[in-house]
Amino acid sequence: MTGSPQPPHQEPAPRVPAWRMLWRLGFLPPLPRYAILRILAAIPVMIGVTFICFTVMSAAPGDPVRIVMGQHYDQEIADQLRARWGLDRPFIVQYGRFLGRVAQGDLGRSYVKRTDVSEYLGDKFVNTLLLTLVAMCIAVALGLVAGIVSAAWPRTAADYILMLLAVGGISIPVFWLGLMLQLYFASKLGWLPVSDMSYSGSLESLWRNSTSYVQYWWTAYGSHFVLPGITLATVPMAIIARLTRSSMLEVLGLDYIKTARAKGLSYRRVVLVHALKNALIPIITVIGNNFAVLLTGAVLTETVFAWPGLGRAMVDAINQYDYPVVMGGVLIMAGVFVLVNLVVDLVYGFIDPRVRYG
Amino acid sequence: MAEFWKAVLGNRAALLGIILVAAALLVALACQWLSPFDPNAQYRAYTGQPPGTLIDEDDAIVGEFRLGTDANGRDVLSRVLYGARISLLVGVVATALNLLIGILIGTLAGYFGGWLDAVLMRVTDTFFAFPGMLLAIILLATLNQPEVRSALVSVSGKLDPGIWGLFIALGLTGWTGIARVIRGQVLTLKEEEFVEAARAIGCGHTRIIAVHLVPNCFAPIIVLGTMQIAYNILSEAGLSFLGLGIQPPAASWGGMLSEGRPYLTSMPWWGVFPGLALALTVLGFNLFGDGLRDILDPRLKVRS
Repeated sequence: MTGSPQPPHQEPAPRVPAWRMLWRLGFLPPLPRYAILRILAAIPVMIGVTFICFTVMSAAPGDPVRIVMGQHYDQEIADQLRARWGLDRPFIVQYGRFLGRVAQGDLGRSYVKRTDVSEYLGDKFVNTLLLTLVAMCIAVALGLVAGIVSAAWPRTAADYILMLLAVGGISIPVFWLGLMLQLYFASKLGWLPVSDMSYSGSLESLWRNSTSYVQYWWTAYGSHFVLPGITLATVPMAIIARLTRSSMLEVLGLDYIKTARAKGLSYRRVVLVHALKNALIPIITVIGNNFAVLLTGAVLTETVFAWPGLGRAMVDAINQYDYPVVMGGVLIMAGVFVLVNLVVDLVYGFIDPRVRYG
Repeated sequence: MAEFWKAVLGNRAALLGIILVAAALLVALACQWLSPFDPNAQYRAYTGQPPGTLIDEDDAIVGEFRLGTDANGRDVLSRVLYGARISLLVGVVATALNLLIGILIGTLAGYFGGWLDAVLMRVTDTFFAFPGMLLAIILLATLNQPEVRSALVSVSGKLDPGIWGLFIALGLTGWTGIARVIRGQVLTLKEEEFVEAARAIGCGHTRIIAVHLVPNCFAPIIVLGTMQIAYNILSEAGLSFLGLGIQPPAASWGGMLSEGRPYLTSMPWWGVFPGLALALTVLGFNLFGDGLRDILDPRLKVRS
């Protein structure tokens, strides 16, 4: 060590890859920049999901051509079909072609339905979306109320009963619940339709026999949403109720709640305004997560109620080796999953101004 | 350990959970002695009889179908009891696989960090983004081909060969949550002094992970594992209900519901009782898991 004074130690500037410097330039405001980065980060995940799906499907010993042609199997036509669908090419070429088509916004044509995959799955997706919206409205409304009541009066009879119901809600098999609801409310009491998304008879005669538009709409469409909606809502409702309770209890123990009470605010106002606002962040996450799960995983409920949705279309397509439909559906579902999670993260910013997007 | 049992006995919900789980385990282990009939025997004279039907042979009562019979004349009670074996077996084995994969990926990612962490977590994200039961359905559609089934008959013993597909499909799909929690635990644990000490006395990575890190993740592993058993049992029933898991004539709760569904109005007992057994078993595991979490690790939040 020499006696000369050392210059003050300086941290070397962190090395930043060139492509990230682009974003550092800040030509976009933080929020859109964050959203775009998140969507870009989702691309490898989407590629991974489709790759796993494609690998497993290709490993299956089944043959789509055989399924499509059925008993009219003819070697020559089968070879032509295989060539047209690219099934005679190696696995990796098939997957590459799929990615190439997706990059151009084309999901291909269904082997079995003989229609465009995007059109076919688009209709199914809308049906699933409608049912999911109904179910989530029920789940959020009842789940929040149950959770708030439990947390506001913990260790009371109401709390114990509600939480026992909630743990029952996550334990009950949804398809069994659906069947029991059908058995009681549809078959036994005859209040509601057993299955299907809309009135199965002639809509015209129903229109003529209806006394009001509301009655017509209810018989033709509205009533068909009740049982599947309740069935689908059970699990998210129970999860939301449990989480709301634990999140609220945590917040209610904090000092600022005591301050609010001490300055004379009513218990109701403190619970519903002060506590709920801060307890809401984890609840929003769970609501978003469940929304995505319902949009993508309602196979069982859709099967029980013969609902023409995405989940059932996927199961049918898997059983028929309709590769384009399966791959398209997986892509749509993974995309929805990523988007919903992004929206959830953006909603945080509106609820909690402390959240910053870096 | 004594303290643990005291805490369990003090928590009524956990106690109820333990009782339900113990009952389900007992039934699963002893179903051949508990069930009054052979679950696959068809009593042709007694098809679709309601619960409590007596068997009348030469004016002598020789037995009773306590929960009725299905449309093939099989005893519903015996089939429900045998269904417990399938459900618990799939639940436990698939969960063991989930834990194995989850712990492996979680500890590797958390302990080594760097690029390995990045890669493993992207893999986890990918599996997590896979919608619902879809991956399990795709895997089962592959594994339940007639060729695969016939190849597995010899190793399945008395069980339906479809059970192997369920083990694999559920084992490969439910591990993402476990991997994330374990990674988080390992990230904090590896900075602790006892890990430093272990490294200082010359322990290798394998030994540090297996002896020092994994045992310290015991609480989340046992809680998540219990909850995962419940989830896997539900998924097994759902997949069998869709006709993808255990194939009829083998007795499984999901399969019975699927078979009994067209007769729900005429023979409700066929579908009601297996569903009830399923709901109670899953409720038991969930209550038990809740109780375990409160006792072992109160910080672990309700799983989303």
